[in-house]
Amino acid sequence: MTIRLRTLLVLAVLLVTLGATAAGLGVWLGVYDISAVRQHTDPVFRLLEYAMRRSVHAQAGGVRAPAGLDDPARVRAGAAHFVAHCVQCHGAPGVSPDALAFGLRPAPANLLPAGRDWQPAELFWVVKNGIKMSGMPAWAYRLDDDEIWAVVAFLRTMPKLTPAQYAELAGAVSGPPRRAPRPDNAAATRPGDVEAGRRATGQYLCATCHTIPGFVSANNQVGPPLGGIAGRAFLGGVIANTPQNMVRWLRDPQEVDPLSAMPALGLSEQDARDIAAFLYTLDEVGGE
Amino acid sequence: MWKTGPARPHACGPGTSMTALLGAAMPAVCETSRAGALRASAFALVLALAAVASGCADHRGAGPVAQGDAQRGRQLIERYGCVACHSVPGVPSYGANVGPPLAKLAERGYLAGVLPNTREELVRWLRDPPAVDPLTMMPNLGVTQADAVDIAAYLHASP
Repeated sequence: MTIRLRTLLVLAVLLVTLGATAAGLGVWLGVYDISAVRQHTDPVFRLLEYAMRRSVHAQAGGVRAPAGLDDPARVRAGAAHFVAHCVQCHGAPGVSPDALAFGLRPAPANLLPAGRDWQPAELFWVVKNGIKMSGMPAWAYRLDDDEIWAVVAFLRTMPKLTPAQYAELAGAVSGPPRRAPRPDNAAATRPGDVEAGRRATGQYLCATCHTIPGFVSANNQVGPPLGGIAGRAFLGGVIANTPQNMVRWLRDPQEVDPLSAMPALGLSEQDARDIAAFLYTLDEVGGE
Repeated sequence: MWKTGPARPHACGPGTSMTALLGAAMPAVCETSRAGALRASAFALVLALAAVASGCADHRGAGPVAQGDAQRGRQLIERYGCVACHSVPGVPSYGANVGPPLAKLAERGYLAGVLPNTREELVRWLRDPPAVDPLTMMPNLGVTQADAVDIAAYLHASP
C-alpha cells in the first residue's frame, strides 16, 4: 500500500512539473498569438470574459446606487458625458464608433446589453475603475461619483432609445452631432475575397452586435444572427438579398433604411465586397 | 422547452392567412392528412386545457402588455403562419429564411433592426409592421391586440 501511494505521489509531482515546464516554455517561446488582428481562441475568450464578469460582480458588491437613479435630469447629464467620452469607442444607436475603436481587442462592447442586463453597481464600478488589459479606462480620475452615476443612468436608458431618439437627445445635450467615420471612397480593385472579408468582419467589430459563425464575442444579440444570411431573402428586412444590395447595405444601412439602428462604419467599396463574399459563405441558419 | 418538430407545420393548410398571402408560392410540405389534423387538434386542445387549468386570465382588450399567455402565443404563431418566413424555436418550422430567426428574441437589442426590444414595441410591430417601418417586407397580418400580446409573450420567453 505504502509503495503504491509513494509511486502515485511521485507521478503526480512529475506531471505537475512537466505541465509547468511546458507552460513556461510556451510562454517563453511566445507561442500564443497576442495579435489584435486575430481573435482569441474560443475557450480563452470565454474564460477571460467570464473572469471579468465574476470579478466585476465581486468587486462591485459594496457599491450602492443612489435613490431615483433613473431621474430624467440625471439621464440627460449622463448623455452629455456619454457623447463626450464613450461613443468614440462604444458607438450608440445608429452611430458608429470612431475608426480608432476598430483596432481594439477586446472590442469595445455595444453597450445595449450591459445597460439592459447589468446591475447599476456593476456599471458604476466598471466606468469608475476601468478594466485591466482591455483599453477600458478608469474614469475615476476625470469624473466624480455623481457624474459616473449619471452615465449609469444614461446607460440604463439607452437600450430603450430608437436611433432618432438618441440623436435628438445627443443633439440636445451636446450640440451638433459628431462626424461619422468618413467613408473610404477608394475604388474596389478586385472581386470580393472570402478570407479578406473574414478579416474585415473582425476589423469592423461586426461581432459586437451580431452572432457570426466562427467569431468569438460576448453581447452579440444587438442585431440578428448572421448565420444563414447567405440564403436570407431580405437584408435588414427591407431590400432583396443580392450582392449589389449587400454591398450597399454594408456601406450605409441608413441610406437604405433611415430607421435602422445599424450605423455606417466607413467601409470602403473593397471592404464591403470582401465582407459580402464572406457573408455569402454563411448558409447555416442557427450555426454558431 | 419544446423540441422543434419535423418540417410539417399544420398551420400552412388552406384557410390560414399565410396561404391567402402566399398562394401558389406555398411549399408542398404542408400536412394535409386527416391524421395529422387530428393530432394537431388534440395537441391544441391539451394546450388550451392546460392554459385554462393554470388559471390564465383573459388578456383580451387593452390589458397590461407585460402579461400575455405564452402558451396561447405559440398556437397563434402556428395559426398566423409565421414559420412561412421565420424559424421559430419550439414551433415546427421548415427553416424558412425570408426573415431572421426568432430564437433568443428576448436578448435581441432591436426588433427588425429599428425598434428597442420592449414588450410594448414588439406588440406594436406585430400589429402593423409597415406602420412602424414603411420599408419593411413583413406584411400586416391583421394580428389583433390580444393575439399580439400573447405572441409577444411567447417570443420573449422562448430560448
